[in-house]
Amino acid sequence: MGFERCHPAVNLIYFTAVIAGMIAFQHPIFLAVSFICAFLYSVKRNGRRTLAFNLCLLPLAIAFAFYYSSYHHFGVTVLRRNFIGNNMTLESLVYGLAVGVVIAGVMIWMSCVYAVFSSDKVVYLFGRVSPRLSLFLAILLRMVPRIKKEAKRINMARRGIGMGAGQGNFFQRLRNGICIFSMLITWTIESLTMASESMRSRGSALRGRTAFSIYRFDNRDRTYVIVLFGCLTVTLMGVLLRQTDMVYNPRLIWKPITPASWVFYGGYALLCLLPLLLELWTEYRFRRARSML
Amino acid sequence: MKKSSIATLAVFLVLIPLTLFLGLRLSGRAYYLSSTLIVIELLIPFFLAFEGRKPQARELVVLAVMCALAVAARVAIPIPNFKAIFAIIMISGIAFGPEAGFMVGAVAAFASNLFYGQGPYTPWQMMAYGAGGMLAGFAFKEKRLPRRPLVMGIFGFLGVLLFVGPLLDTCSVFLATPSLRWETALPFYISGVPVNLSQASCTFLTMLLFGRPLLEKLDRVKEKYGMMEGENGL
Repeated sequence: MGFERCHPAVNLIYFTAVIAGMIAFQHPIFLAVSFICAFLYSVKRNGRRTLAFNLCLLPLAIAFAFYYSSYHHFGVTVLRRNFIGNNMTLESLVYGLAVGVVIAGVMIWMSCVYAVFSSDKVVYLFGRVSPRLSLFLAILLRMVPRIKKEAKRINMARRGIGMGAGQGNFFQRLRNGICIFSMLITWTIESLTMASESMRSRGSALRGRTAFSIYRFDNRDRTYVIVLFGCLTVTLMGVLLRQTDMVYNPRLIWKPITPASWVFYGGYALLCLLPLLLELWTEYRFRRARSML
Repeated sequence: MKKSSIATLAVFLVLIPLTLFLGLRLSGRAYYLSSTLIVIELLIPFFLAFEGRKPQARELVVLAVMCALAVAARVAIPIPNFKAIFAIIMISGIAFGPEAGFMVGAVAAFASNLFYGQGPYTPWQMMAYGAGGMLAGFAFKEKRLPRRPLVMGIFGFLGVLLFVGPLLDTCSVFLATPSLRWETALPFYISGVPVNLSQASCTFLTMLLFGRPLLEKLDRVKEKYGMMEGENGL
């Protein structure tokens, strides 16, 4: 219910824009806006377990800031000297924190991408470009879960003859693990070859084959695209007016917040919140329609 | 004339001179920009040659598994600069021929940089890793060198130390110095030697320990499904 029911092209444009913005914008307010929106949307999308995962990312971002500032010593505001006599500077610490937040934010956005983009959407979007590529994608996307399942099976069978990955002393375990890995490689190559051969003999690489498609570009998608591009325009205006810039080296130079800045912050926040708002709106409509019965 | 050879000619006669010319006209760090462009242009004919052969999906699938294995060999080993990726690329080159080795190397470099971070060095790495696979493919084609683990290990050691490593060092020369001079370039090559040495010894060990079983697997698949045959013994 919600954003994943939109047209795949809309999903693709949205996530490309949002992740590009997360990586490109240096200004802390833009970073914070994108991070918080990603946080909210992933919790809404994926439930409680994501909350714990996202909360774990924050201390990791802070730890990355300390790691970064222990290696990079640019900046003029010296906080203290470390034991080899290098300067620990405020600027490198803050920049490290910004980079950490970017990494964490991209990871959270990617978790939303995984939740929204099912493999049929990928094949639908890229299958038109090249039928061979789409065949390839369809096989590869199924590969990881299949390999995991097979690894479990091999391990169980090996355990039956006392050679599982967790049996014996350290060296035996190592040996057994390598053996299982080797079997897995052989199995993967063979089964992928068989899969691609069987897909080929069913005509999946022929000309004129259509991809599985239940997608329609309806009015909701049109509205969504219009709002999306409105927000993108506002954000790009902010980029042109250098609202998204921030100088970290040699000194923290903060772009002053003018009343006009709030427009850009608002536009960017709306951009990042769009899928969440769409889902809340859908739920509201659904609930209202049900209560009318 | 074949499409891929036209592309090769176009790249060498038009694109690269044009890039060099425009690079001279630009000021500043244009060396770096133009060299990156040239490396990207050099990659084009290889991909076209591969596509022009109309590869079967099953062949692509096997190459994809080798790429995945190579990426895993770089990402999963926690010791810096001691990665088995070169060995895996070279083994694919030995088993499936030079062009396949180039493909596996280039794609594995790109894919593993998704974990390590892409940068201006990515095309250089694609080039260098691919060249390593291609070199191995040429050296072991038509039984020029015997496919024994020790021979493969020594070949891998020398290949990484003298060929792939210096290529990667050339990248850092281009990235770090504004103008090309022998005196400024030499320290980069010398300071790259220990890193290359450790990579080369990892390649040697991997070839020695895992070279034969991996090659056996690939040869078996090749024989069973009759793949990677055709022109140029690819």
